[in-house]
Amino acid sequence: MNNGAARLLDGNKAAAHAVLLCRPDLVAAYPITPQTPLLEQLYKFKAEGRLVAETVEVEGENSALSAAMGTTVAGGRAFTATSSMGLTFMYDAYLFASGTRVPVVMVIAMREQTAPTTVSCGQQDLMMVKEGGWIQLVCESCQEILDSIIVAYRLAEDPQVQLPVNVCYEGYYLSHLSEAVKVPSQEAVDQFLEPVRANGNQRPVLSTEHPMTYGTFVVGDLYAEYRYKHCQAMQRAAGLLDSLDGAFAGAFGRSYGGALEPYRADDAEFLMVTMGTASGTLKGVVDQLRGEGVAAGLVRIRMFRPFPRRQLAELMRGKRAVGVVDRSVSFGWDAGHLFIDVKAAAQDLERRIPIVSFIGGLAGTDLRHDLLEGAARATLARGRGEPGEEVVWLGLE
Amino acid sequence: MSLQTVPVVRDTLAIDFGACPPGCSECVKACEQHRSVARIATLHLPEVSFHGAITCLQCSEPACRDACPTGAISRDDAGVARLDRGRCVGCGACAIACEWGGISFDFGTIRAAKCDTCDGDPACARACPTDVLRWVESRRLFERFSHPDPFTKGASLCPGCAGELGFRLAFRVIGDDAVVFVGPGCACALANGLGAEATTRLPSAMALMTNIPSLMTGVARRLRQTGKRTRCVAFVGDGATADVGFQPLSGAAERGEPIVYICYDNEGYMNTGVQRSGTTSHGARTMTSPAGPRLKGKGQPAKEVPLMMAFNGAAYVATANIAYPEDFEAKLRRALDVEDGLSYLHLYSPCYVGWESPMDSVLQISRRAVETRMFPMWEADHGKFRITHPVDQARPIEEFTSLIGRFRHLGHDDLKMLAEEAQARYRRIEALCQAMPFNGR
Repeated sequence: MNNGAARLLDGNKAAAHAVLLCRPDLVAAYPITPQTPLLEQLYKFKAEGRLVAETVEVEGENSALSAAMGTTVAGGRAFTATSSMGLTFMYDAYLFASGTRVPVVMVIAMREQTAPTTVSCGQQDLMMVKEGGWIQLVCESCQEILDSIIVAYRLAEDPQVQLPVNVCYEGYYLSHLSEAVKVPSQEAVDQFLEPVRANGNQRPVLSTEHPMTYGTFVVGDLYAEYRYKHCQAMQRAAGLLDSLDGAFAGAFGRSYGGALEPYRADDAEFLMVTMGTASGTLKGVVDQLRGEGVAAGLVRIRMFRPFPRRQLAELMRGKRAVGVVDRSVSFGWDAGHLFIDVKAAAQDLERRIPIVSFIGGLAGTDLRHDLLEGAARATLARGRGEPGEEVVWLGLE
Repeated sequence: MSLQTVPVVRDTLAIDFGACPPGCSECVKACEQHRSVARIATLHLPEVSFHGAITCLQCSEPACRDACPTGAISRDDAGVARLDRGRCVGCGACAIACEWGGISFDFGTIRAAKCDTCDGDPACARACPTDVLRWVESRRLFERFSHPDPFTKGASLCPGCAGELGFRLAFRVIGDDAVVFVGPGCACALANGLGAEATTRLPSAMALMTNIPSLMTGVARRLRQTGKRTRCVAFVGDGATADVGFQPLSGAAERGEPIVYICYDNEGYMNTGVQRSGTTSHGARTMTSPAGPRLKGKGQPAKEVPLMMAFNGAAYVATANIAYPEDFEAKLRRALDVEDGLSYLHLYSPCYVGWESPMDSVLQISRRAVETRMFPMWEADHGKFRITHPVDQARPIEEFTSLIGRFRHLGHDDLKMLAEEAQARYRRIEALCQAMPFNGR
């Protein structure tokens, strides 16, 4: 087993190392905070001769994804990355990539969505594209970023899936935070993720040898068939991620639990649910409460789309309450986005339980231990029958 | 003008001004031998890179004919301006009237002498040791469009569509080693398939209005990476080119992506039912630039996209026009030859539906657009400009606008303004040709 040599890397650099190891044929991205250092690191690799991919200095994000799509539909492997307004600026291509089943991988270094204008961390940008038909993975650590990108290509390019994948991590908290990251060897990655061969692809490719029409005009029943098959592929991706998690563990010695990561959840009286970096702090809160004799538990959602609703419902079964911590706001529901998904998944439970939305950490404010401890205690109280608000804004005076 | 008077394409003597080798006079000798007095002369002006042969160009409106006081010159059914020596009095008015030096003088008989194409088999062309002089037979013109049409018959485009004609002609030149790109719009009916059925045997991609050159970039880079010479060619309307899709086009040109981008300019959003675009002509009425008591059609002149592209890093830029297919073909071949940057062809493609014109009018409109200087024909090859179809005397603008219903609301002053803008446009290209002259490839 080659679990790699440890390096001190921030999230963007960890992502860049992963991209390098995946041997893309093309990298196209447009600078935007906080994704930019990832892009710069890839160009550094190119200057050093380590990255042999084509690089395209596009004039905008819609073109970044489109160039990546172009190389992918022509049989290659491509990478792009963005954040926030760059993500919404490429919405045209974003929907086209999933609707035409292009297995491209894109990092989202997550950031708040203008307006008000800020470049700080949030998960709002991801939430703006959650219905876009992509597979979306959300990371907790720099190591997980590196590992998830490698897994993402396996997932995207699998003939049973053929869908684009987002690997998402929070701006600054991960993009600019340095941790010890094990960087596997090229040989080990090549074993796990086969390099693209000129003619070795299993998927249809734009070529004169086997001409096909890409992006065809569709009307009537065939349209429904496209949508149906897209949904089927999404569901296959959910199953595949679990098996890839095992295969990755076999090859590199690291595992993340597949679509979600339960933490002391089985015997818990109540659960906290979140995505991304808040889960680290929440694990501390869970440990603290457990030390006090309170059976707290946590579920970290890794695969946001397709949403692991059945596994989550299974974990929620028998719990007295669930608290959901969101770094984003759903206007109209005026609650967190993940909260809405959790609430929908809880519909599968036999018994109604209180589910509370905690909104916090917007615009890069810290989701501190004391705030999350308060959230956990409030959830516990709701589970024990005390009244309370359904939506709680953490840290808002 | 009635469409019945439209002249058909004639067989013609083609002269490549610029390629005639100095010192050669085979054409003159042949003409002398055949007709005693030469009706052709070679001319070399190295300071302006002119090396060609001067002879009668068989003008459609011959000035010599109009100048002749005895009516000795007339134009026959084959389009040849013929001199009746019996009526010629040797006054020389025809030679003075001709701006092209196309009239010779027979000092022996004191009569004018001019080329009559040797009745369709010119001795000069046969004698020319190079390709400078060629006798072009109209029926052979399409031999240059030698590849089979790759698109299905009966596509859902309007009969008589200029865009469809341009698209089919383009790929009869480009051939099969290409990936074709379209955007949402009329042309996609030929290339993007319908449901599970393909409409072309070429690999094709329908992208978005906003990403065609970027998608092409990714495909082209990958093809080159795998050692293929397959060309990526876009055939896209003016909306996706000049307006919502200009950003990626500008980016691809600046980066020097070796793709071929053909904009078929029908001057409006025709597929959505005739709305104004950035290239819609000044004064033209559309659904979003209507004419009425308070509006006079589009209030602004058209964006000059080919010029923008020429100053945006495109390696090769040309305007083309389906009424001049041989010129389109030559420019397309040049565009395909260029591999060190983006080639941009701006193809004038009147939409008779949106322009409120007769169904069979698009070629006539296209020709008149050139002859009135509304649409200058030029190319810029790596920053060197030349006008490919000089129009020394612009026809009156009414000969163009009268064919087009969407100008019908314009008054005399409005048309005068259109004509002046056209002249300014043409002079601007002329100025560029002088400032950055074309000296061969």
